Amino acid sequence: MKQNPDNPTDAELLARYSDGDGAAFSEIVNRYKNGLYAFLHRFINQKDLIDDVFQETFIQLFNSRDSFDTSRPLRPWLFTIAANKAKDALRKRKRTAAISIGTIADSDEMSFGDVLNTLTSTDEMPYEQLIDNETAGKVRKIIANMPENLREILILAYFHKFSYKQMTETLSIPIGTVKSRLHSAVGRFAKEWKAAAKSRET
Amino acid sequence: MKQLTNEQKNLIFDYCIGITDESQSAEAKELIFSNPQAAKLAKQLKASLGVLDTCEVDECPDYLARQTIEKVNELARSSQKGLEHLLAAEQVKEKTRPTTIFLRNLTQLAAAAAIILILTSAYFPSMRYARSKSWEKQCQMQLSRVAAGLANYKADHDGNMPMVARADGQPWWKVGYQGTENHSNTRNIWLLAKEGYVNTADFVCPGKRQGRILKFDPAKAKYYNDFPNRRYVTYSFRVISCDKKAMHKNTTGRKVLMSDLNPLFERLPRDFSSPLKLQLSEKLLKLNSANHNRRGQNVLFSDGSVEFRKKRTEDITADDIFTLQDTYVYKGTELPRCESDAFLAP
Repeated sequence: MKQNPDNPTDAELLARYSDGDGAAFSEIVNRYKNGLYAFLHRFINQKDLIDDVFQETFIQLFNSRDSFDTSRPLRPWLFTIAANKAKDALRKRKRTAAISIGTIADSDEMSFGDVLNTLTSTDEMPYEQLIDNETAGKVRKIIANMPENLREILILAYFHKFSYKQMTETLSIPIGTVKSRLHSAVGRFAKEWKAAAKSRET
Repeated sequence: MKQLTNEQKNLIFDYCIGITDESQSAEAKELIFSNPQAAKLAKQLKASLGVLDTCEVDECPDYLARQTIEKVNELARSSQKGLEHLLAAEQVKEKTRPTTIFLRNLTQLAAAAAIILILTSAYFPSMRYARSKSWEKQCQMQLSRVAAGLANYKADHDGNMPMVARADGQPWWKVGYQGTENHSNTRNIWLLAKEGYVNTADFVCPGKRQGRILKFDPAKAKYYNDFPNRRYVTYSFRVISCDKKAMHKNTTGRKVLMSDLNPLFERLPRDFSSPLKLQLSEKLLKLNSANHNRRGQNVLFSDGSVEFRKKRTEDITADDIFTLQDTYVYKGTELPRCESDAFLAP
């Protein structure tokens, strides 16, 4: 692979780190810190857990640095680690504090037609009217209460613009499942949002 | 009006989510522009999904990134220290009799550590070896590509090799100096990069850490007379004086053309106005190129072949490719006295 000193690839940085260049790992952290932090913030939505999972993700990356396949991009791998760590942390918290969090939803799958109907139905609350301080909080709450597999895919696709291929790699599921799960996630969000908007109206 | 197909609906959906690639986005935009149904669907989807944009998140706090880096660095240090600690414990144990469970456990632990150490000592050198071998091969491939570039250049220039006019007695070591009075040896080979015959990445040996690949910009390159900096070229080239142009055309003999960086001239004055004076020493006479950890150097011959030589001499003539015959002090202006005296300079 050709090297570019101004913008080294992730694989080059990991190779440099393996060769004893400590600054290379810092570069990786700085490269992904904002994206990863945003992902965890939306996925976990619990401040005290975010910091732990964030650090654990990079520690896991450090521990697995030798097994990294340099022919594959780092980003999906890093998000896979982060998502798994986040799920573990949430399960642990659920066991200890019995907090209700979203579980895996497979029986709740919506067809693409249903999703489009939900998204395009005319009884929607005008978006503009709901843009206030509460809106972001409500959106966050809806996302936080979504089943974790739907929440995960919605965040990766909408907020982090992962392609279908990257989502396939990150989630280790076939592309067909990625598509149907994304449709369900979007449909679910739209349904919940409309319900929330209606309750506010009344 | 024709109904949208499922495929088209999927495309609009993906476009509104923001996960289409460039060509899909262009396709979606065209569809939205040309089909009112698609436009309506896109508008509705964007209106429904737009609320997600309110869910903004702050950037990662600095303390968190800093702490993470510190933790990882500490982990790296402690894993090294832990191994050393276990080894020290093993040495202490050998001097005493293990009589307690604690000590037995310690013995097991130390044994495991010793196994790890043995495996590590066996594994890491082999990894290092594999990596250096890989760089060696990659370097050979790069030199082969330079050879191909040279052949193409010759074909396009009436059989002449790339060569810039120079006068005897002018310094060949001022690589990177862009003044018109520059006579560096790399100006010749720069023509290959400048005119697009060889990729600039191929002038940087992968085994040379200080090397940097030049991001080639044709607009800027036309103003350069040479590589902009020494670090962009980590190979040495045969020094030829003008009156030996004929030798350039003569391809019958197998001549050394290029090799990994000459070890004699690894450190040259940064200030181009400073004089160069290098006295040969016993050490310098034996040193291999730094590009491959002094194990040897890849050498490109005029027939296009590349060989990794563990010694600096040519096979038949026993001529040292990094020195001039009977020359022990170098000012950077010396030239070979005969055709058989190969001399590769920066």
